[in-house]
Amino acid sequence: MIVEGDFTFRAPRRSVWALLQDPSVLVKAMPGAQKLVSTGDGTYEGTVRIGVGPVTAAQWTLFVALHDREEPARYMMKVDTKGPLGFTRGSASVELEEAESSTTMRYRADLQIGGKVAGIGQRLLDQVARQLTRKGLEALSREMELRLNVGVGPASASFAVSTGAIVEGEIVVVQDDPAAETDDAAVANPESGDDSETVETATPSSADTAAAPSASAPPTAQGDGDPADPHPVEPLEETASPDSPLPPGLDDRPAPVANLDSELPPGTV
Amino acid sequence: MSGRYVGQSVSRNEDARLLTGHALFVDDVRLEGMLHVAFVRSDHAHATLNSIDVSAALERPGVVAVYTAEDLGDYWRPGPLLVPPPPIEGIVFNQATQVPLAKGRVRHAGEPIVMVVAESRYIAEDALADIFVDAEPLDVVADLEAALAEDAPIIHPQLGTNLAAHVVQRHGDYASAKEKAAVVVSRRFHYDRGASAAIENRAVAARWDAQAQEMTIWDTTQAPIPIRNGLAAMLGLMQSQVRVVAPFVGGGFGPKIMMFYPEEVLVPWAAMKLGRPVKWTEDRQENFYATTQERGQVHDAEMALDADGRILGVRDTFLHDTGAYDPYGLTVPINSQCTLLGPYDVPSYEAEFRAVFTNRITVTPVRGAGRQHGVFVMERLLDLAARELGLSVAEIRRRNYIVQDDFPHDHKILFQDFQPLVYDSGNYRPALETALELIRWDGFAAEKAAAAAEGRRLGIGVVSYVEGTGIGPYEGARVTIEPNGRVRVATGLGTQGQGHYTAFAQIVAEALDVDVADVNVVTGDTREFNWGTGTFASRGAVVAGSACHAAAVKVREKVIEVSARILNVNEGEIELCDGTARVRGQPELAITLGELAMRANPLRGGVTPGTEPGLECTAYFGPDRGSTASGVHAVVVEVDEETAMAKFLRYVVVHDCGKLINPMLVEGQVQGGVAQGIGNAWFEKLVYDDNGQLMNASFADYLLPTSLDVPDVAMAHRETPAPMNTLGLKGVGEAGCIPTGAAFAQALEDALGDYELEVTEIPLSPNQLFEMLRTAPRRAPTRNPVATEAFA
Repeated sequence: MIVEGDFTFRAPRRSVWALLQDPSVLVKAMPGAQKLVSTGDGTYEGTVRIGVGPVTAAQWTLFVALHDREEPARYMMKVDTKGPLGFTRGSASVELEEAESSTTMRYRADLQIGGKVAGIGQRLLDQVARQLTRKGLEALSREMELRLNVGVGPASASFAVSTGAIVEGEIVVVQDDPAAETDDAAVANPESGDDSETVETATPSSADTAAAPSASAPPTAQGDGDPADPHPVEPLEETASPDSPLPPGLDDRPAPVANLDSELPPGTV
Repeated sequence: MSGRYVGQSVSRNEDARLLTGHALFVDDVRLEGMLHVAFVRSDHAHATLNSIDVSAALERPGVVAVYTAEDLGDYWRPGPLLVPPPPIEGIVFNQATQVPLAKGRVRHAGEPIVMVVAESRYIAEDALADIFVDAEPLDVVADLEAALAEDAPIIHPQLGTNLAAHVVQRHGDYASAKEKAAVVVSRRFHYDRGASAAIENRAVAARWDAQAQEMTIWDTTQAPIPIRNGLAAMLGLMQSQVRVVAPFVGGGFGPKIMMFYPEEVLVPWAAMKLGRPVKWTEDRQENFYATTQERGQVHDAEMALDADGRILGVRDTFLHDTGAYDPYGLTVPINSQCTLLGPYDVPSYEAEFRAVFTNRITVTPVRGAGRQHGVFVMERLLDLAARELGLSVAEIRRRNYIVQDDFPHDHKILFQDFQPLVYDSGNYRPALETALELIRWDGFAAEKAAAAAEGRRLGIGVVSYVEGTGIGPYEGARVTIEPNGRVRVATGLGTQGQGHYTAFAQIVAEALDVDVADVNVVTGDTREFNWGTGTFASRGAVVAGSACHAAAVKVREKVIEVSARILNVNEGEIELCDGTARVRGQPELAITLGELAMRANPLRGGVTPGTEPGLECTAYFGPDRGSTASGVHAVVVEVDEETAMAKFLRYVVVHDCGKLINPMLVEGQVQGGVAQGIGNAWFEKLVYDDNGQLMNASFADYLLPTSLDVPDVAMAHRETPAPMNTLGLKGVGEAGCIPTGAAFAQALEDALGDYELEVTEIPLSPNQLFEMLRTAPRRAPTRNPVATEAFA
């Protein structure tokens, strides 16, 4: 099965590159992701909880290995998931193209799908794959904007990212309506991955008790996320609690959306 | 013999029980302390098993045991080869049979790896998620031709090849035939099959009674006696210590004659090991992976004919997909090879096939068992030749039928029963004429034109076939008259809905002149009858029915002998009537069969030495070869050019299965067979991807035809009695589904005659037909095959 398309992030390419490799960002973005940790240079392990149509959601173990990285322009990755419902194996290529104030990501994944989910969910796989990809990229985009809008300078930006000292609710944003996300979840089982961002991710901690050290930056946004401001965000170090499911302070509710059009950019699937 | 019962559409003895919920099916078996089973099955079509971690599953409350191949110890071994290769000269055959649990390597998606035994099926299935199998995928063999290529991944390394068999059979001299030919047509054909989709999935339940040292196994098998014999040997028990019961079974259709499935072999073993009854019931999704199916062949075939359309010779080379293992030998491709010849006189025949291992579920016979493939090739070649020669499809067949006085007709090649392919009897032309009449062939040109004026496209098809049925080796039956006057019949094969409880009762009732309802038939219980081979290949009624008849006739002789003695008359004066034995002309001198049975079993006193007690006899029937049934199918279809949807408007079957025991049962078999044939032609196809993954393992995507899709079949019967059994019976179980694909293909081409398209592949789908319509050029107006009909 081929899953391909492109997506535009309102962020500079270097930031996009960095955040694409940050497990704490990815785990928030991936629909159904429960846990994602870095296990080495460019390798990740985690669990996701996903169902497809009549196949009830179940837990999958996920292994990702990045290779042929050409920072900040492109990389390849090998993906392996395994669970009681079957497996997927495949590779994907990601290309990032810088535009004026945004980055266009072009991706192409070639996946082999096997087991129960292939035998029963076949008709839905295409649709579900695209849906999950789209939701994931949207969530990734939101997460990116969230992180990039926080902090006054490079140090605090990266610090914010590494400890997740983001306090929800104090950013001037438009709150997205979670219900609207699931409008086309009719085909995919409503009990499947769509809701799992809210249900299945790690235990919520109240936003107010963010374990942010005193160095938490003033959370007010620097305007509406000024993408032209090239926060030179460092590629993420694993030193920031690589084994914790979610950086403390982040809760499980869908992150607020910063300035995302309700209309998807052309080319997004 | 036909008379009071045989030949009548008697209502079925078994229906009352079935309809009121008093019939036992294997899943109904509930025993105290019973445990339930679920299997971890391979997700990969081809992979090395590096490790299996079951520790978490063992911790789960309610899980009683978890077994891998290693845990089976000496019990682990590949299953037996059920059908050895026939003694054909130069044959190459490579055996590779299924294993109880995968050891080191998995070879098809769904192959069982771990068996979990738990207090309930729910717990067992939950425990599957606790088990981690480290499987390293290997390259998959998914294509028949690629499987034989130099660099193909080898599925069974010990064989060094993916070739399962190579068989060549020939008679005559095709090369010279071709040289003399006026017309040679050749094509590549693809014929694919599917799952049997019986309404009841497989199930096995077992109880080991340690005090009585007896094992009882309930199994949805079509072959209880061979299963009993094999499992007894495997478990180290005497055959007499094992009882296998195949109770009411909801449809067999072939996959349930596959024997020594992993689950069949493991459930009794677990019952013995754990000292508790164990049951496994397959669910529908499992059925797509765990139960055998039939699949495709690719044929390159050629026919040489003279200017009059008479066949001079046929050459056919094909590849056969046997799946990951070949426990059933070469039954399916040999059937294809032999049944291709059909009811036609073929002076020269050169037939070659290669059976190939692939990483897909194992192929064993499914209703029709490979005959469809051969029939499709032959019928399509005839249609193509007819078009070239300007003959109608009916006429070309007429000219090639084996004629009445040419029986027995020896094709000089070997059939699936290892005997020469000899047709014992048949009369083909009249069947064709009847079919043409029933389908309204004569008026069809007008009907077609009238429909065309309304914007509807109709097409007509007519095809012929023969079917080897009633093959050996044998079956047996024991008939007993009990003191209450009722008759007990026991036979070794099983019943999956064929109506044996009625058909066999009719045969015995006729011989003893008792009411059919007073004949109580038991099948499928190894305790009741000890010898037999099973229900397959359209042989049940022929072989077991003949045994029932033979046993009943022997009992009849005993009845006459004993009653003559008691009534003090000559044996010749005794007649049997309505459950009594009486003196002809003096009806008051009578004794009921029940009383006779009691008198024949004295508790005291002396008897004439050599007398057997009671009124009971056992008899066996074993033919040296099968009998040849035959038929003609005709169909009218309607095709929508825009949507590429096709409908079956009318369907006719003219069938010759020798003498009919029960016309209603025969009609049921034919109607059901046609439904499966229509499924095979247009709806059903198991779709695998290049990685050996089955993509439609549910009825949401594997389409079965519904009652809306299958017309009522109009039937006519012809009888050319089989000479090798007293009743003149031939089999009919598979008749309905054998030529359906060929008939559909011909009818489609007729409906779309103004397109240059050819149907060389079955099953077709609306998608495929749509593509064909899109790309096919329009044909220059030419004589419509129907219109060129030149009736003799």
